Amino acid sequence: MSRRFGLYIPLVLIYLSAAVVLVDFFTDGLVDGIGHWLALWVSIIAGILLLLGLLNIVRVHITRLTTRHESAIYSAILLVSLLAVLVAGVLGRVQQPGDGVSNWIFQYVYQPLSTTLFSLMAFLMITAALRALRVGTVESSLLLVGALIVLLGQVTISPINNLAAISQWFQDYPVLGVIRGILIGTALGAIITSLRYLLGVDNQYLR
Amino acid sequence: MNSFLILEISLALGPSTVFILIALVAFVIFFFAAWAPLERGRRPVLRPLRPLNRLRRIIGQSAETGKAVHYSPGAGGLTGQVGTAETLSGLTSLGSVARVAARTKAEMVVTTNDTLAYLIADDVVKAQYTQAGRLEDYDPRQVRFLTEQDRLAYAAGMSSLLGEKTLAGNLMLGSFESEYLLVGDRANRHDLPQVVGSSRIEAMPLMLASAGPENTLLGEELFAAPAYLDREPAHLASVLAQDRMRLLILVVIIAGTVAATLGLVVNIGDYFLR
Repeated sequence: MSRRFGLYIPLVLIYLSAAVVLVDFFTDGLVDGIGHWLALWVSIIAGILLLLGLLNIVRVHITRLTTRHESAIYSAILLVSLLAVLVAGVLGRVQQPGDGVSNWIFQYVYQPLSTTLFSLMAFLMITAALRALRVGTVESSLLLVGALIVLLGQVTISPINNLAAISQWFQDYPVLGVIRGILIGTALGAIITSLRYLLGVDNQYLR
Repeated sequence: MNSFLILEISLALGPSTVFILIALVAFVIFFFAAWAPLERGRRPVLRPLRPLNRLRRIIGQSAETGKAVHYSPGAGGLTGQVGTAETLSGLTSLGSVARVAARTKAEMVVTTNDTLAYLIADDVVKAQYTQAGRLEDYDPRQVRFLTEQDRLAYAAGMSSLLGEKTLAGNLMLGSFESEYLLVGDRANRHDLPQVVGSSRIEAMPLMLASAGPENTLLGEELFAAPAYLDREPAHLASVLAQDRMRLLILVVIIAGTVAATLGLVVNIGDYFLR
């Protein structure tokens, strides 16, 4: 009985929060700003919960070290990096308000790594396109033909003079139409999913 | 006093807000109207979705081979970032996948890119193992927090996981963008069967090219996945409500086009913009 009662409390909180946020959105002068206030709470709670995530990372990688996992060396590097950034962040903030050490790590270690990873995307796209071409389904072939026309339309010296116009027509009419269709479907799906959560119907995490 | 209050509230309802309110009320009505017959046992016929049949096969293979399945509820977050609804849908589908995995004794590895998503994913998986009577097999390390709202780093983490662990398949249902390619390419290199889905325009063509059309859920199919996976009345009702709402929108679009063409209304677009 007490367990069931314990399950109802979060549900009641869900209903109350949903009602307050909706009333805040649709009215003026009744519960002004409470929606924003609740969103702020979520951000603060999420910040605190980051520590739980950090604990999970440490737990997973310490297990890999102790069980001598084949990639244990990477786990060791990750844990050392994690500790170094944490210490540098705390000490840097204590020593100077601008947090120069963390900024340095971000600017000279994290950003170059991130940019390098992103630049790989160009090659991966070509690999994916070649794979799609090899599979040879109707959908993938249409996708490639469309991509080719649009790409050639962007090139200054085009083999066919009218390709830029064809490419623009493609983007303005069939592509835009399809995108709008997808967006309407996606928006409907997003609304109904949110509604299920607001009504407390999707409550697998409570069971 | 009462008339003053009504005046104050009505001032907050601009043309676009009125449209949102009407749409919301219509959605709630459609949802509950569809739900009641489903609770009495009626089941609608759903058009087949090949990727979800493949998803079931992957879980089956995982149970047979003893290899784990990787699941990602998307790179989106739950604190107001882009892709909150997709992440929620990904977490609902996770419940259905975890239920089958727990019952068939298939192993799972779940990775997340958000602390809240991580905690919910952990609760969802634990709840399914508890319901299947296999709580002793639940390992908190099978749900992993990889990164906090960093799509590229998250993709790199998933890619690394797919490369190093013997897996039976890769399931990614949620908010993904172009970073998906990092994971999709790794899965292809390791001949790993995958089922992927996103409602982001940036990811769809890449998923079609990398995973193939038969393994990709596009747009709203992602939100319909829970209804297909566990066929619960509430999820089926949401698919039916979506269809009815789409019909209503079609009627509104056609009526609006005719009315605007005949000059019966002006600036009709204002009603649909916030």
